[in-house]
Amino acid sequence: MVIYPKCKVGDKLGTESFRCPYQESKLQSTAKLVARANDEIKNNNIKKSNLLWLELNGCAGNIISLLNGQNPDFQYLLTEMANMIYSNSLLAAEGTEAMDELFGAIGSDYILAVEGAVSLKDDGIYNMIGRHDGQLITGLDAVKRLGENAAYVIAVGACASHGGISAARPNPTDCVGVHQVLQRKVIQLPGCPCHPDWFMGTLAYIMLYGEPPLDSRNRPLMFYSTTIHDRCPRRSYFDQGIFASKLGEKTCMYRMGCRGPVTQIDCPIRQWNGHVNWPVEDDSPCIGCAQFGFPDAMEPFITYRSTRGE
Amino acid sequence: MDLDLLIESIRKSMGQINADIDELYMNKNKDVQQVLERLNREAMILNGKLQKYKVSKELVAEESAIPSPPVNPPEKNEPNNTRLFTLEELAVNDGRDGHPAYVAVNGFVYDVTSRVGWASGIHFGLRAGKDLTKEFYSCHGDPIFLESLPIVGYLS
Repeated sequence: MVIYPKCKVGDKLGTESFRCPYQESKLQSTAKLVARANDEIKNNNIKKSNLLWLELNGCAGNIISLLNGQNPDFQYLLTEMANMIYSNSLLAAEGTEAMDELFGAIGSDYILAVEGAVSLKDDGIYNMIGRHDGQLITGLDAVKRLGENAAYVIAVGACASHGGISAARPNPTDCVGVHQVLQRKVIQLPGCPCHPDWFMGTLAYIMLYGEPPLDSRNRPLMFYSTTIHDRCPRRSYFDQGIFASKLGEKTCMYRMGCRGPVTQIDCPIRQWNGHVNWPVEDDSPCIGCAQFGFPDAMEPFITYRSTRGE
Repeated sequence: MDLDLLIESIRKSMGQINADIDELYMNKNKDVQQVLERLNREAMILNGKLQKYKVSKELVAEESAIPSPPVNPPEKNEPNNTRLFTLEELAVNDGRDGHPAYVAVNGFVYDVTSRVGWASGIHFGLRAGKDLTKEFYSCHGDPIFLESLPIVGYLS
């Protein structure tokens, strides 16, 4: 594992701003991929993808996160990059029309994005996504029918990737990740929610070059290859053993249970909400939301008992 | 003043200070002024002790070295890695309340306090202070990186 020199992408206070080329290129990765995809579409080298977005047993946080995308933004996705054939939250059509759109896509070339876990208990009746041909369609049914026929299946968010919060103890409806009900490869984008850049970058890569390079757990390497700890702006504090003992302090939060060291994702570089901030920058420890096992394996999210009594 | 004595008194003061900070933090119905005064007193005590230590070090440097035996040797300073642990003793060392984080795998007791993956004594939902042989093998398989962990003892 290579450790890159620690740089900040411009100091927000403006007193010093030296730009690290590695950080800059990582930050722009999605924007560049999307711009390239758009160029290719304009030149008729590739076609806009058909995109189906299924919301299963989840909170719809991932579609909302996608709507927050900036540079590139969601409008760009809808108009330039993809034909979004179906999305429960955004579709104009209702009722039968909507479900016909959804199942009508089978047989054509489409990419299936799934958010939310698959609820298995009692044949999936605890998650109904609509009615079609007079029958209630469960999330389990929909993802199986649409997933096996899709060109690519992308599990967006923690719940679709490994069960996430939907599968947290005691998991009353037997929720599991999408890959556990499909017999094919599923590209995993864990995160709670998934960052709009991660999804749009993956989609653009698929349109341009096909399946992106994935790690052993099927996460795109371009986003999920370094741990937060290795890119953390507070890493020098960790290395010197200068630890915070409560929220609001500017030093390393390792002793409070920061999950940065076990979480592989690029939050320190990419940041959130228009690339402006992320938990550690706001003096709050990372809770490991983009790593498998979230939330049960990442608890407790904060602890004060490590430093008390010393 | 002896280094070990200084460490002991710093430890005690830090305990008091952290307890006070906790009180303030949890907004207990206490007089904030009172807590602040206690904190101030602890800070002054610490400062006084540091001064004493500094002075005593300067004196020792001037004299020819006459070794003085440590008065209260804290057990942590001994580089002892042959200690036998019972499960109860192991359970105390779970990374909380100032204890180090120890984990037992295959009869060896390892110190994981400074391992990055063990922030606050927890690793993927597993708490330190336990025999985690089964969990280790079910996830990691090949135990080769155990060699890089410091051994502090053996499970009895």
